[in-house]
Amino acid sequence: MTDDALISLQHVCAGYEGRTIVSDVSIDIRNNDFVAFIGPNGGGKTTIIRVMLGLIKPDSGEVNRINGLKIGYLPQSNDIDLSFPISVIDVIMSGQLDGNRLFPPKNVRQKAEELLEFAQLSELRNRPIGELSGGQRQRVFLCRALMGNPQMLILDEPVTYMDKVSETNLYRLLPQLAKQMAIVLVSHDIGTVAPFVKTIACINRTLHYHATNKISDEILRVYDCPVEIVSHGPVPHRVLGIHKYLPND
Amino acid sequence: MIESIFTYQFMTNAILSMIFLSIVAGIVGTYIVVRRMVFVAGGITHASFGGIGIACYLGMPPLIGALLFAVLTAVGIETLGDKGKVRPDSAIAMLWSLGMAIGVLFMFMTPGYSSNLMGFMFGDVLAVSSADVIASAVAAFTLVIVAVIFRRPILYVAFSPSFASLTRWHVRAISILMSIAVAVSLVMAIKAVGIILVLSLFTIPQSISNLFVKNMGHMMILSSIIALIGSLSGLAVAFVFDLPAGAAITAFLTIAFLIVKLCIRK
Ligand SMILES: Nc1ncnc2c1ncn2[C@@H]1O[C@H](COP(=O)(O)OP(=O)(O)OP(=O)(O)O)[C@@H](O)[C@H]1O
Ligand SMILES: [Mg+2]
Repeated sequence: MTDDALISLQHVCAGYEGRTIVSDVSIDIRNNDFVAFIGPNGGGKTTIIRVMLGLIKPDSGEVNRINGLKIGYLPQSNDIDLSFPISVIDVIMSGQLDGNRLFPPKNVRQKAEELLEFAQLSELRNRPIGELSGGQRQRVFLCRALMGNPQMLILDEPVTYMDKVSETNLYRLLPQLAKQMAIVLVSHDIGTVAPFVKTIACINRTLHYHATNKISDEILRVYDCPVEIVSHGPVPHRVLGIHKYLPND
Repeated sequence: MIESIFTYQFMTNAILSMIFLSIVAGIVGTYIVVRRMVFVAGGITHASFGGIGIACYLGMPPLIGALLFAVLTAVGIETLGDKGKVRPDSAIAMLWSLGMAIGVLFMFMTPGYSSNLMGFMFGDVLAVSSADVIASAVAAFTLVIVAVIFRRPILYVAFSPSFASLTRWHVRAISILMSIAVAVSLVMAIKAVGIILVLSLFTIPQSISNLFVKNMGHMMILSSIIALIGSLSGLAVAFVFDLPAGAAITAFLTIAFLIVKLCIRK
């Protein structure tokens, strides 16, 4: 573990009920990191995140976090009960990490209100969470992740359900947030995220770390990472760098 | 009429106990309903009959036995729930029927006790003692304080246990404590409304209030009020027409639910 790592995974193997899903995963997440986790469905991205969060214990290897590390988390799938009687503002406030949490003081409420404002959800503050659209709900969960002033933000497929406007807003926001916290962004759409992340980790049964946001042949071939077709073509190229091996290059 | 009701000590006890039980049911029942653990609650209540049977056989107070069985079942279900070795609903059904079986076997072996069977199944609110009333008052008071102080952790853990654990709430401890509260509350209501009818007090007022409010705290308050109206009305009907109170309360609440549901639909 390097000195400035917030969280460090060393040769981690992990899975469910004794079945190994990912093995020999090593990665450090530092203060200013902004890393994209990419890889095919079932490759183990969410599993590695669960290990980072401590939701599952690794079968072997080491996980080290700095003391009291505050992580904001936006889960990929919410196994929440949509008929649960809880309001939007209470969901956001449930992300609070410090201060008096039994009776949240004024400034905590204020923070929640600010987040609502910023996510353009103010009118929905007292609505039950189940009455929101999928994309609105996703924005609420993003606010909840930010509520605790985290040192590290983990977003697992955050744009699921979001429309193009919300997606663009989020992707505009992330580089700003990245100045204040480390960010791990899981995405299928590497073509869209590559330009603004700093580094890329490819995950397919293991993790391969690239200390750059350039999409190399290696990423495409060896790790079977899915890249949206639009990012391959030579014309409106959203990805930095051209992949030599592609037929039309 | 009203004065004549209060001249009977048993009627005063019945009314007081229904007031406190309504508060208990309003709070705990809301937790049961929003966490979708109605079947769990049914299992706990019925399993407690095993404790009643054994206690009768040993000549102990039946509700002590019920309490023991209920708490063990509740904590058992809550802790085994995560393990995933047996399907949780099948496990609950096993405990449910095992408890009933133990209860019936021991009742059968206890001379002269089988006449009590109906009392435990359907309850007898007019047989509630002053000690029972005090016990339910203490339970109601404790639950109100717990619900006020721990409103947030209870809400967050019920809503999303996995996220609550990430925000460093002691999900385990909170879930187990609430399970114990559920078990104790259900057993408290057995004497008044009986094993078979207990669940009505813990689910129908909650279902009615949920038609109006979509906030767990508000649901607890409104459910208590509805439970109170329902049980006092049921009690009055039972007193006037000399009917079993538990059944009258259940019938009253169910009809109220249907009427409200139909009116709200329009
Ligand atoms: N709770 C679970 N119990 C058992 N197996 C699981 C569980 N969650 C995931 N898996 C298995 O682990 C493997 C990796 O899943 P994971 O969710 O980590 O993939 P992912 O990279 O996040 O995929 P996606 O892109 O679809 O989100 C899959 O084969 C999946 O079947
Ligand atoms: Mg995933």
